[in-house]
Amino acid sequence: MTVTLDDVACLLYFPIDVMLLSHRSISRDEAVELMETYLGSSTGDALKEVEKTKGAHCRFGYLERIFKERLKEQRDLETEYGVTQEVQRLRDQVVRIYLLYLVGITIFTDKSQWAVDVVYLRYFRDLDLVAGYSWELRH
Amino acid sequence: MHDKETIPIMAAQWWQDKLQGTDLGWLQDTSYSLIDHDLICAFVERWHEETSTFRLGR
Repeated sequence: MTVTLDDVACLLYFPIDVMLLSHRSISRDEAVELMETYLGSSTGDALKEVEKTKGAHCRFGYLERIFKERLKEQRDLETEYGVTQEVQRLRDQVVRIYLLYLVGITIFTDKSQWAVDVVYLRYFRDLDLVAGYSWELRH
Repeated sequence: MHDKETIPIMAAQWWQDKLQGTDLGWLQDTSYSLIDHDLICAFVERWHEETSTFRLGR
């Protein structure tokens, strides 16, 4: 039996009043595209993740690695050239990597424990819109 | 994610601002590192499939 939003509203009286997290599952190809565009992953890396996880997922170990790489890269670039567009782009990637990791180990854990569904990246495309989604209950 | 290399960089103002802007920073204080197996078993036993709810009464 699937829990519907109507069940939630009727049984638990949870208010549902902001942008809902609503998505269908994505294919491996779509996952690769999301990782390339929003995490700055190389095609080879992204393909390796969907292959290793046998689905539209990526491993936490991979996220940890690119998190550190991008974080240092933006710092080095900033030291040399200041806050350029490239630095801003890297910073956005770093924040998305961190958020994907964070939701993967907290609210969207699954049985695998070593990988996270890349589909959640779609909510992190525009970092200014992230706060507009219904991540938690608000009273 | 947090180690002696990354922590100093994550202390930067831009990081704090960006994370605060997403409203998801509170997740950092959440952790499942402590799992009470008895508690989980107790919840499983009280799950009712018909209503998809827990019955927590006696």
